[in-house]
Amino acid sequence: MNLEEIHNRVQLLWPKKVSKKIYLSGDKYWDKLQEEIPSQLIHGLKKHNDKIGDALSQGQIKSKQWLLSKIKGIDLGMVFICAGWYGTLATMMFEDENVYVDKIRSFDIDDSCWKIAEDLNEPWKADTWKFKASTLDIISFFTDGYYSDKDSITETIVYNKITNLNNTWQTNKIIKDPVKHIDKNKTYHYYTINVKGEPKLCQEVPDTIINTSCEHIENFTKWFNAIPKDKLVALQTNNYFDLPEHVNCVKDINEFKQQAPLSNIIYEGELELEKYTRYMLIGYK
Amino acid sequence: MLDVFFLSYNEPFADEHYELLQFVAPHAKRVHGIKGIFNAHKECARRAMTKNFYVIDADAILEPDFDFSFEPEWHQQDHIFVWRAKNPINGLIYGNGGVKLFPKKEIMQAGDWLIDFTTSVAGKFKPMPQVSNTNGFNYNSFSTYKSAFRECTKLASKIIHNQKNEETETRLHIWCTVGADKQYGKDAIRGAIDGKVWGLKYRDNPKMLDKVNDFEWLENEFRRNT
Repeated sequence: MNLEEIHNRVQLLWPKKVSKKIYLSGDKYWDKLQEEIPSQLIHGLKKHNDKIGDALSQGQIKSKQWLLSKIKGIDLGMVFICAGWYGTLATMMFEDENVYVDKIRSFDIDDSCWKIAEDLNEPWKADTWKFKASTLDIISFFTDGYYSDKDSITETIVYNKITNLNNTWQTNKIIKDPVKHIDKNKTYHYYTINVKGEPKLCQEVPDTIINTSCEHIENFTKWFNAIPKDKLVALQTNNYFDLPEHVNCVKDINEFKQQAPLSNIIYEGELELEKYTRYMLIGYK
Repeated sequence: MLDVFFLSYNEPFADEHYELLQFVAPHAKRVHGIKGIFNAHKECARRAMTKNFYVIDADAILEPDFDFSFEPEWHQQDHIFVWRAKNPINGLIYGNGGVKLFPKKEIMQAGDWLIDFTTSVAGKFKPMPQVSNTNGFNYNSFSTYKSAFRECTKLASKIIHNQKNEETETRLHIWCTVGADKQYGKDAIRGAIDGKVWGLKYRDNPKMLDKVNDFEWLENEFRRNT
């Protein structure tokens, strides 16, 4: 991204804090910006602007701001952000004084995301892992209630730790039907990488599940059906059928509601963007 | 340091909560057993030695990082400041049940409570972003029903000054539908629905809306609808 593109994004994020014109360049521009706007997103834009440009496109920023405006004033507790990409939504949530979270876990299947997401959210990662990003496939994670990579040894370790919790320890047994042994409605088990580069087993219960990339989820119904009942869920998708990676678009909000049936909808709506319409559902499953 | 008042009536855990409050605010005074919200606040104002004074309800469970250090600037000393509280049943976080900071003179001079004095003083109500406490109102059936009824009457009648329609509607919807599985959650939902009906029915009748401050009347409503 060139400086003008960066400045456009900064303007969209903080319209009242920056001027329309760019008066400085290079380090002076960044120094001034960081002085005026103490946000981790500025740090991210400076350090990773080649990567996170798309994650902070006009459409992405407006969509995330729209989400924040509708979840403010609700205790979100432990939040699982699925398909969390570079963690920009998590940063925006932590930095919004009206959004209440205890912890955020950001999951993405793309292994190039988690390091940038953690760099962007470093203050909260450093604060006893208020933020943590991990690479995993959300479909199997939600349907099985656990996730490990395909290495069978790791898988066995995960299995042993989980089954041990349930008093059904069976050394080195290969998982045949893990769902039976795991209380998937309560605790999710997965490995993440700690600061020393070592895998660490996490066992956590989400209160809120967010997925703002439902248009990318191939097995959406399988994933959605695996979300435990009564969880607070916030979902976004769009009608931008033209992109090949958009495998799960909808034509309108009603189709989205059919795809993701919630027992208690708190908010439903649509946001007109330049190239497409974005749809959002917030409610209890 | 501003005065802090602990308001209790007949809550079973009031002594314990007062002791806990004194760890954070050793100078906190207790106003106990005074009938009627308006009278209780008047008593706080009467006993206050500072221009502004804090009020914390007996059922509030303070957040570990909340202290009573905030003091308003000279030009805001006639304002009412309200901190946010967590609702343990439905997860809402806003001013309902939060710590409040009142101006002594204005409370002393007030003629009545106007359904919700805190938020109905035009231009003088200042919501504070920090969460001060969890609102532990769900300690028995009636207390839970009463709090939900009162709050949802206010929300449904849109009596709160500068309220935003969409935000109010969302809060009302959440009060009326979320948290049945929590402690006394069903009482909260029942109280919320009854309060909503009352607020909508009497939205233009302040005298009837003010019934929410009459706890004996509320208890009759609770028994009648049980």
